[in-house]
Amino acid sequence: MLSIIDIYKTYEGKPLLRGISFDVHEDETICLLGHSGSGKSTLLRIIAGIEKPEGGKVLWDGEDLVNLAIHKRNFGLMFQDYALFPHKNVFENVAFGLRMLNLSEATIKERVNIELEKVKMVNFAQRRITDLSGGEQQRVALARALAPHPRLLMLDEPLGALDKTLRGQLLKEIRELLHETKIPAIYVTHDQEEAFTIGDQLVLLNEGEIVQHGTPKMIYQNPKNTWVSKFLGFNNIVPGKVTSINPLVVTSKYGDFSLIIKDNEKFSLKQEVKLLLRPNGIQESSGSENLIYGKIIDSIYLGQGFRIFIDCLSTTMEFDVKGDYKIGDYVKFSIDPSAIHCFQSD
Amino acid sequence: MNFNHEKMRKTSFKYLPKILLGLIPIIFFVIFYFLPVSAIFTRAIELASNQIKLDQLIPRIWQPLRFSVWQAFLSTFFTALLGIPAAYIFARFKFPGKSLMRIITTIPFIMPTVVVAAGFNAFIGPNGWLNVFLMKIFNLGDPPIAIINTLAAIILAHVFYNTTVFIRVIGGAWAQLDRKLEYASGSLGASRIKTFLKITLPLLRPAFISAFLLVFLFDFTSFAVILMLGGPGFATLEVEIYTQALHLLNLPMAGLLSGIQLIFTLLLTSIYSWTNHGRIFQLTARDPNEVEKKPDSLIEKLMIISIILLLSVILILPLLSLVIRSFTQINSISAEGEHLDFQFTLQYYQHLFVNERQSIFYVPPVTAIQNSFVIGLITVIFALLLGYLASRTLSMNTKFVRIYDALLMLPLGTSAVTLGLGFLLVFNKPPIDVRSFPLLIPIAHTLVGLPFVIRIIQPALVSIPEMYTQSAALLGASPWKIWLNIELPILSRAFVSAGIFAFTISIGEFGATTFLSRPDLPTIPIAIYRYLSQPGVMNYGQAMAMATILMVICAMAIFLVERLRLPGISDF
Repeated sequence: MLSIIDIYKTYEGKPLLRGISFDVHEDETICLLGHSGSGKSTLLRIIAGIEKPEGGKVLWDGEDLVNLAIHKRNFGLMFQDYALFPHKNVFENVAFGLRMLNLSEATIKERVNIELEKVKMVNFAQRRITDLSGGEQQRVALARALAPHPRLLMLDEPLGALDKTLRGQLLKEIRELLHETKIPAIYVTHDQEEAFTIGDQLVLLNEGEIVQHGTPKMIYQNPKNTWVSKFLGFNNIVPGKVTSINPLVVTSKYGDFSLIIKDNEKFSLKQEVKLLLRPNGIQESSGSENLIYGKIIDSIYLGQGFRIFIDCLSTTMEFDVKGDYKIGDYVKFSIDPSAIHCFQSD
Repeated sequence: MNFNHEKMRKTSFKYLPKILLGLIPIIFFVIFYFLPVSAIFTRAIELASNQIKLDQLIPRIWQPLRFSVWQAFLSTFFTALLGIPAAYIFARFKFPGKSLMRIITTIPFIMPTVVVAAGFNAFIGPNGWLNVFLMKIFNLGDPPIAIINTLAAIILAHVFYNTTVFIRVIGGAWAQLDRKLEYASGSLGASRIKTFLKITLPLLRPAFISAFLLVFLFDFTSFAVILMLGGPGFATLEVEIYTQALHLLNLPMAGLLSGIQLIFTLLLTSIYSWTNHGRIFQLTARDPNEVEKKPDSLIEKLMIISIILLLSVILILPLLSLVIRSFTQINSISAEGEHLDFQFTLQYYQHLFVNERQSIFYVPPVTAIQNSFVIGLITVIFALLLGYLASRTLSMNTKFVRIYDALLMLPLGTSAVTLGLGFLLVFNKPPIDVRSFPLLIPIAHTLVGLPFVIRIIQPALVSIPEMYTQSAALLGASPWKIWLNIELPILSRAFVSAGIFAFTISIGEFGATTFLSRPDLPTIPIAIYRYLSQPGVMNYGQAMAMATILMVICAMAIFLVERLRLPGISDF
C-alpha cells in the first residue's frame, strides 16, 4: 500500500530526515515514535503532502505521490491541537470533507450522523467548536477525518494536549475504531505507552534516522541499543566486556553476569558490550553470581510493590521489589539471568 | 457594620482626586472639541432648516459628496489590489530583505501628507523625474505624462498611504491564522481555492472589514493629497469645506458640508469599532517558523518579486525623487528636451534663509521650521499631560471608563479640516481669538495626537504591577515619592515614545493648521503648500528642500520610537 523510500529532508542546512524507509500495509497501524525534534512530524507532513522531500519517494500502490497535491491524496489528518474550523459547528466540521465530494445533502446528513455515532458525539452536532472540551474536540476531529473514508489516516500526537485519564480512554477508542474501519494509519507520538497500545509496528526515530523497527513485543524484548533502552524507560545500563561466549558471561565493574540468550554467536570474546538490567526479576541473595549491591537512596510505593533506587558504585539503578526497604540500608541482590539483555556498544 | 461603612467611605474618597484629575481632559475636550463641533452642527442645522436655500444648495453638496465617495471607493479598490497580495506574502512567506521591506512599509505611517504630495510631484509631476527623463530621452519639448491634477495622481498617493494598512491589519491576522486549518481542509479534499474561500476568508473576515473600512475612511477624509495633487478640478467634501471657508468666506456653507462629513465619518468609525468588537474567533500569536515558509514554486517566487518591486516603486521612488530633486538644478538650454542639463545645487536650501522682497512670506522661510518646532514642543507638553491624566483615569476599574475612552477617541473620526473650521467658528473673539491666540494650533494638534498618545501610555501604565507601589508604600514612601521613584522611571520610555509621536503628528499636520496659521507664522507644511502652489523654479526647489527637511525630521523621530520598541504604536 504505502511505501516510504529513502526520504531525505534538511531544515536550514541541517539534515532533518536522513534516508527513511518503511511500508504501511493493509489494516496496519504504524507508530512513529521519537523525541521532539526527531523528525517524525516532518515525515508525516511529507507523507500528507504538506511538505516536499528533498530526496526519496512516497509511493501508494507503486504510484509516486510527490507531485500529487494534498487535496488529491485522500489521506485523513489529525493534529494535537485538533485544528477544527472555529467558524463551523460540529456537524459542519464533519460534513466538510463530504461536501468536497459533492454528495447529496441527505447522504451527507446520514454519513455525518454515522461518524458522530462512532465517536459518541451525536448529541453535540449543533454545538459550536468553542463550547467543546479538548477531548470532545478531538473526537470531532476523528469523525471529521474518517468521514470521507480516507485510504490512510495520519495522527500527529493526537492526544498530546489531553490529560492522562482522558488520554487512556480516547486511545482505546481510537484503537477500536482503527480495527473496526480497517483503515491503515500512521500514528506519531513521543509517548511509548501510547505507541505500545496502538501500534502494530513501531518505528523508532532519533535524529532523523530509524533506530529500530518492529513489533512492540520484539522491540521491548530486544532493544537495539542504549538509546532505545532508555527511551523505553530502562535506565540500568552497565558497560562490560565479554569473557565467555557459551554460556555468555560479561564482566563489569560490579562483577560477572551470566545471561541466558539464544544468539550467543553474534558476540565475540573481549567484545565491549552493554548490559540492560531490567528492573523486575531481582531478589535478595547471599550468592555470588549476577550480583548488584549498594545503598538504598529512595523508595517509591507503586501499588503492587515498590520501586527502589540503589546507589551502586556512584551509579543510580532502579528495581521493582515487593517489600519495602529503609533508605540508607545496604542491600545485595541477585538478578535473574533472563532479566538481563546484552547488546553491542554503540 | 460600622467597620464596613467606614471602609466604603474610604474607597470612594480614594478615587476622588483621581476623578478630579480625570476631569481635566474632559474639560479640555468640552472646550476644544465639543464646542467647535457643535458650532458646526448649529450652522449646518440653521442653513439646512431653510428649505429654499437648501434646495439651491443640494447640488453644491451633492457634487463634492459624490466625488468624495467615488474617489475613496476607487482608491480603496486599487489599494486592496496591491495590499491584499502584499499582506499575504508578508504573512506567509520568508524571503530575503523581508525585515527591510517591513521598515519601508512603515514609511507611510509617519510621512506627512504634504511630503507625500511633494514627493509624488517630484516623481510624476510636470517637473518630476519621470517626465524629465522621458523628455531627455525622446527629445520632447513638453512633459509627456500629465498625471498631476488627475484622479490617477490622487489614487496613486492613496495607494502609497494605505497599502500598509492592508499589510498590517490583514497580514497581521493572516499570520496568526493556524496553517493546520488549511492542511486539515486540504486533507479533506478541498483545493487551495476552496480552502481560501471556505476557511481562510471567513476567518479573516473581521480583519478584511476593518482594513477596508479604515482605508475607505482615510481616503474619504483625505485633504492635502486631493488639494495638492488633484488640483482645482477635484473637490472632496474636505477640500470644499476649505474652499468655502477660507477662499469664499462662506462659513455657513462650510459648516453644513462639515456636518455632513462628520456624520459620514462618525458612521464609518462606529462601524469600524463595532466590527472590531465583534471578533468571535480569538487568533493567537504564532511562531513565525510555523506560519512562514520559503517560496518553493516558480509562481510563488515571481509573485513575491513582482509585489516587492511594485511596493518599492510606490513607497520609495516618490520620496527618493523628492530628496534628489531638492539638490538638483535643471537647466534647459533650449526649448527642446535634449538640452536639459542637471547640476548639483544647494541654492534651494540656502534661499530658505533669505527674506526676499517678492517672497510669499513676510519672514525668511527658515522661521517656518522654527515655528513648527515650537508648536511641536508645546503640543508634546499638552498631549503628554492630558494623555497621562486620561490614561490614569482609563486604568481605573469603573463603568464610565468605556464612555470616557470612546469620548477621547472621537477626534480619530473627525477630520482635521472640520476641527480647524470649528475653531474658526468658535474662537473668533477675545480672549481666545484665532488671529491673536497662537496656542490654538498646538491645541488642535494635541486633539489630533491625543488618541495615539493615550494608546501608548495607557498600556504601559496598566503594566505596572500594583505590587510595586504597594510595597513602596509599605516601605514608607509617600505617594509623591512613589510616583517619582517607581511610576515615572517605568513610564519614561512610554512618555518619550508618545512624545515623539505627538511631535511627529504636530510637525506634519496640515488640515487644521491651514485654518489657524497666520500669514506671518507659517509652519513647515504650510510653507511647502504655498511654495508648490506658486509658479517658478525657485519656489518648486524650495518646496522640495522644505519637504526633504520635514521628511528627515519625521524619519528620525520614528527611528527613535522604533529603537524604544514599545508596543501599541502600530496597533489600530
